[in-house]
Amino acid sequence: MTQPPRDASPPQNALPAPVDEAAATDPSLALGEVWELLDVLPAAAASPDMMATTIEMAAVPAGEMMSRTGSGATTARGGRPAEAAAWPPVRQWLPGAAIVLASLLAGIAVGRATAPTPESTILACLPVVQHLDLLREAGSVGFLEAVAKGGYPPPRRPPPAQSKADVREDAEEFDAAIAAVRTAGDVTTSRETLAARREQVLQMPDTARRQLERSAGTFQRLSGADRSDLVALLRALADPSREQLLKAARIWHLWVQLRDPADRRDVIDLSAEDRLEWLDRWTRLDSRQEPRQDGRDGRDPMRPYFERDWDNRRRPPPEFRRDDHPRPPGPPRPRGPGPGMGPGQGPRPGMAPPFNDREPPPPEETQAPPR
Amino acid sequence: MVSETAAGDPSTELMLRVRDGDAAAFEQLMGLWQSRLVTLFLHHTGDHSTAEDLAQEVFLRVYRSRATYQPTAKFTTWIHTIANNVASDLRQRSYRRREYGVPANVSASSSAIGLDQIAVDASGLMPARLADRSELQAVVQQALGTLNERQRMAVLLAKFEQCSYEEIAAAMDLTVPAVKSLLFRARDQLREAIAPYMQGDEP
Repeated sequence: MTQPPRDASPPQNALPAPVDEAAATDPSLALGEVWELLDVLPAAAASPDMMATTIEMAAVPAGEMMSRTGSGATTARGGRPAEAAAWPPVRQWLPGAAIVLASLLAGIAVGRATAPTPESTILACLPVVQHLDLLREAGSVGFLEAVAKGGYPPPRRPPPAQSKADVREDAEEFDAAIAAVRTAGDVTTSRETLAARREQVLQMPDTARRQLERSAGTFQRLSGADRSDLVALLRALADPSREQLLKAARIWHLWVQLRDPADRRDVIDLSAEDRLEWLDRWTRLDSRQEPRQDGRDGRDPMRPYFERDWDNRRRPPPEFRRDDHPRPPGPPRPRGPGPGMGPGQGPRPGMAPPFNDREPPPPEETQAPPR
Repeated sequence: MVSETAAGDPSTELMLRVRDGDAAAFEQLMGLWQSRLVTLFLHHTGDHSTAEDLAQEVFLRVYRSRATYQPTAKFTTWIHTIANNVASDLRQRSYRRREYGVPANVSASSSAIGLDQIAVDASGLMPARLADRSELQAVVQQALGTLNERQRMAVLLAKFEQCSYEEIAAAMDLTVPAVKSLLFRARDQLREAIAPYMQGDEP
């Protein structure tokens, strides 16, 4: 009990000050006349509630009491160390700690089992990933509904530099893609479906699998809202009762095909509002360039160009007018037939044939619409 | 087993009963000691509420240590040791975060500054005007504040607890010569601090 406390400092002075003999045994003598002066200091009384408060605090468990008093200091020798008082015995906290640890491990295991992996996400959304290009071109259900509601016609002209066969082939590809969308199935997390889709992917040819991987990468980079839109669009296009959306998707596809392949991505990436604005502009321009057939000749004005007979292609080229073309460089040529241009004579060697002999300019309808 | 020094000490006997789970004994022990400890801490810190907090902390430590209490010496020495530890903790805590409203106890190393401060604070307490006891109390209290922590605790243990050199040394974990040195230095410093106010009383 008489051992000094642990936090006590070492003796302050190794060499004590000299003391006289009388003060060597009694502290009161050591203090001299100061001792008497200290008598003026009053004795203090404890407040009435101090004892009750102390007893109440002493009744609190040791660990909580340490936190309330805010003291981490050691007690005197004979008391339990403060560290031991601050920490409850192992038998008290070990069961709780074991429960917390077990809960943590169980949570991690359940999370790993239930959290979707990137692979499972791709397999669940495989119908979307497989037809990602078609769905991204179509945009969203809202956009297709707006197109259907707006009554936009298909373009009058075929895409530039495409033959009739190319156009029909593109239309067949579009129809095949739509048919595939309708039979691709829905987005699901069913274990059996995922296993079947995994087998399906494994049996794909290498080129198709690489294409699928690229589409999967693109799909994963999309935002959650964009993914949800594509899933909703897939379901809408697969719904037989919403044929108007399919028709709108076809009309939009034809308009997109009018653009150069390098520029189609810019159109596809437009927002729904910008797409509608772009469509408004082009349909107005298209209607100005050629009077639309009103159906009085028995033709359906809403019929796509590839179903028409391309009669506009057989329209004769505009009549050539000499004054419309610039004069070739060089001195002015005398008017009237020249010596080398007389009847029955061909052009002189090295001389360009007369303009009338040139090929007519390409028909107007084969030119791409202005951008 | 109670030693000879502890035998017959009422506080030691009460503490043994506290160790055995006697709650009433703890109340009696507090009744014996709370005013003494509050007085000790009051003159050590200069603030009554702080003194009560520190005394309460002493009792809490006593209560927490009851299970391992061994009466190998007087209870008085043990509780003085705890009181000294609590005072040391207060000094460390107030050094880290100055929460307590403890008056500035100027250390001995800066006694010149402390004396100047006393002269400024107690300019109305010049010797001719030391008319009553309360003014003298203020002078002595401020002079006590000029001592460092150890000197002040040694003086208070000697004066108010009537501790011997050995008991002070045991409570403060010092040697007896070191305690003597502390007290002599404290005496000189108190003399120096109080002298300006006492010279007027001399004929």
